[in-house]
Amino acid sequence: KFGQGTSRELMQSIPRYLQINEILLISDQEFLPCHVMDQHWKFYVGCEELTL
Amino acid sequence: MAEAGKVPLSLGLTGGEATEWPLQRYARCIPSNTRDPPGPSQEAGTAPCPTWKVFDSNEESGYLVLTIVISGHFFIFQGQTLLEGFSLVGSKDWLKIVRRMDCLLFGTTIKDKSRLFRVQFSGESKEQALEHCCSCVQKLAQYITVQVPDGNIQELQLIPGP
Repeated sequence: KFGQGTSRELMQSIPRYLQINEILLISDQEFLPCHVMDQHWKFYVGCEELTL
Repeated sequence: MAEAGKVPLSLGLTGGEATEWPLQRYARCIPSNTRDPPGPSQEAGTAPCPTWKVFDSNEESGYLVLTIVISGHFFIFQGQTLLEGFSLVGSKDWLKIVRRMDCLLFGTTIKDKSRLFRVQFSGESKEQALEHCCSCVQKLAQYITVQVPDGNIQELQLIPGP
């Protein structure tokens, strides 16, 4: 925990991965069975581009 | 010089601790219906995974950054929000990555549950985005093999012909 002496300069010297203030969790609906993921995987590996 | 997708960060080593790359987009796959039987319902040329939850890099929502720390930790941030975070050490057992142009697709399988996410790198030009992507792949390659289907005939043979 930082004391009152925390300055902007100090904050900037702290790496980004130590300044996390929120984590976006993975929702259950993002999970898929392995065999389905493998199908998707093969499809995308065969795509010309992955651009959204 | 305030171009879209330009992230004010120093590429390469930041204090020797971590390497950062600016991203244009990050997306999580949301399966439409995982209980569908696989196969016949899919038309050729139709993406089997139609829904992607897309996060764009911008000032309003925050810039997207991919970070690999010297310890082997992999992070994706949007501003101060952590979107992905895991260790690359020993990840070849549960993680796979494929590159297409300036995009990477990640597939993870942990405890029989899989998920997909992908990123598109940004740069001041398409070429620079591609450079960023390739330098990130080089870094990732210290821990895990990144597939590049362009140069991998065996992979392409898995795709049924027309």
